[in-house]
Amino acid sequence: MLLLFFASQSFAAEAIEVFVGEKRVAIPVVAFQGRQYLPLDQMAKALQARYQDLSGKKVRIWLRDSSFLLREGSPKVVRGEEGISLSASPLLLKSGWVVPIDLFSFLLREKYGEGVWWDKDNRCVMVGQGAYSVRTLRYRSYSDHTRVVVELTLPLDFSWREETDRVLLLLQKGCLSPTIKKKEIIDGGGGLIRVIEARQGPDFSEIELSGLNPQRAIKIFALKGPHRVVIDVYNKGDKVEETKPSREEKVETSTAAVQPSPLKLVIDPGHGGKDSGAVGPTGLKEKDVVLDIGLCLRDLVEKNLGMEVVMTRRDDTFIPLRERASIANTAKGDFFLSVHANASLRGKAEGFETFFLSYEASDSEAREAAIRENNVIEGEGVNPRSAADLKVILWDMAQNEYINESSRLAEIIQNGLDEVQKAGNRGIKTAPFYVLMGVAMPAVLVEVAFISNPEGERKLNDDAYRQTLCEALFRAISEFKGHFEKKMGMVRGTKSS
Amino acid sequence: MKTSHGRILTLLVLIGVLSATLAYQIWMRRTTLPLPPSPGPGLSSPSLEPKRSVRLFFASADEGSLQEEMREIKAGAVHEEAKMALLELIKGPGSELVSPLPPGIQLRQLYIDGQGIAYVDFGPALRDLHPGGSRAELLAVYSIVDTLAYNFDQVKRVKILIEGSEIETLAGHIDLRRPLKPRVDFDERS
Repeated sequence: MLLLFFASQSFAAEAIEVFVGEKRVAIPVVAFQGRQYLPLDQMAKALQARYQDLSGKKVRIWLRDSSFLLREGSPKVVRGEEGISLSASPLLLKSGWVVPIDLFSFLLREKYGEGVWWDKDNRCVMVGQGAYSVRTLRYRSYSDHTRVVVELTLPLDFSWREETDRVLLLLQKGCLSPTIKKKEIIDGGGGLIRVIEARQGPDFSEIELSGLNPQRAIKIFALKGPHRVVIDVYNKGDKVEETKPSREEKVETSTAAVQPSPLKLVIDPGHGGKDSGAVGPTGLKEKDVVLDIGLCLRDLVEKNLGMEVVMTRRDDTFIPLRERASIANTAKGDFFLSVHANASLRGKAEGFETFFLSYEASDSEAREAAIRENNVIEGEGVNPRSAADLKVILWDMAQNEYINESSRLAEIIQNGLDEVQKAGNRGIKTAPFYVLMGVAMPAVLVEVAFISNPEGERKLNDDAYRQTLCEALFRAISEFKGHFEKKMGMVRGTKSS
Repeated sequence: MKTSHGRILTLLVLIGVLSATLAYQIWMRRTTLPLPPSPGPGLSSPSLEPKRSVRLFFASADEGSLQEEMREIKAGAVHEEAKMALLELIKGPGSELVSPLPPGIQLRQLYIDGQGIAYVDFGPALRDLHPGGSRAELLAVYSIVDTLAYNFDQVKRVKILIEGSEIETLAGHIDLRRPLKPRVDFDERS
């Protein structure tokens, strides 16, 4: 299905490419009345399927143990007693049968199950590819040097080249994990390295360290268990030979210095710009109410808690949902609060509720479904060509490790609001909120009140009431900060490595 | 002579076969599809259509959760039944329950894949006429998901599309990029 959706957005009827192992097969796409079709003979060849013309403008396709019956003029594919609906009917042209492009996607899945995915960027289908070989890329600054560690899944041949202000590491047959950041800019850390970049070549990976001090010394070596290549950058004059490879583990743990920095709260006022959010019976807009509460909360938190506050929007601007998580993650926020006002269908509902990401979006079944849906092979069987797709999934799973903390934050926020409102506590809930999905920190979404009922709208329009809500949220943030510092204090120093 | 005899024989055999076939067909029709007692003028015979009941999920009167209402639909192939169940859902409740869907929305297409995912394609009104608010959105999304998943064993998850395309959300809250599992209640760990 996804194959179809993507293809239907493209007007040019290009060929699609199928990679089966090392083999590449191109299938031309036939555009007809705005829909896209594939010639059956070529599709069957790519799938190693057989087919036979039957009388009455029907055709039967055999794939593995199943057979599929198609008829001209009917969008249904019949397998045994089961009928599957296609986006269009197959056509019998003079040149032979053409079938809707989604039949291909369906049959691919039938044949290869999970081991198949659709690479949107490159417009190709890949089947049964190998695993990536470069697992992670990390760095840490020490008192006298900065160490970059490239962790591998298997030993790779490598070489390097030094230039005035950069060094290039070439990993033969390297294949970058999609989780590796393509570009990392390092602030501080003695300024030995400014930028670390990772690039994927056709059959190699390249790691570039740039912005190096021309007066430096570099040491590159391989280690085992796990396989990794280590690059140490020293200021010239420091004794390079002091750190021997065998001492690496000891060095890494003993110098994990804690650098205290203020905690960062990300406030996300919902909607904005062209997206008004919910609108009250007399026209009060959710986007204005939540921005006002968000800005009030920012001021209180900055003034009183010594925290840094990052706003996903400071004014009436439209910020796409996807960007909100990105703003929070880029700012390396410590926790995330999305502020909304609720609406129901007939304006009957009232109260306040706080959501954190549902277990559904984080459970293993959902993860598998997500992977299946994005046509990406499961586990480590990832090819760089599908990296973009997989990255989306991994990014979306970012909340996984923060569920407990998010649930705690939701509880504290909900209790905070409960203290200032007499009634209407709807409790904490879970649901797959888009805005929370990619946030890599404890994150909740609070619906402070219903704007859709007249009384709720009247209250939200009152400055004093909004101030009350803002102060309640502030006290909750203050409480969570205490809890968070207590719990995370030990871990914090190692966060950026 | 020989050929003339042959022709007559062939003709006889042919006639025999034809009449046997005809008789067989008439017999078959009578035994397997007995004609219903002839209805009186102006009366139809709706009771003979096979039916099944489905559970439709509408918003509760306080708009806080989803509640079931039973409805009868014509029995048929799974995706036909699933379509009919959704059409009934769109029609709205017959009780004090509240319709979670905007009026006049169009169901365009429904497809159930081999992995138990139902892809349901709606016209743009489902998104464009949505009143906003996460409560209203949760009710709309899960009325569709639950109605399909709780009535049809083949449906494990539901993916909502608008005009054949994937959408991010209906009104800015619930992530529709992935198929959703059913749930009636939105409380934690429900």
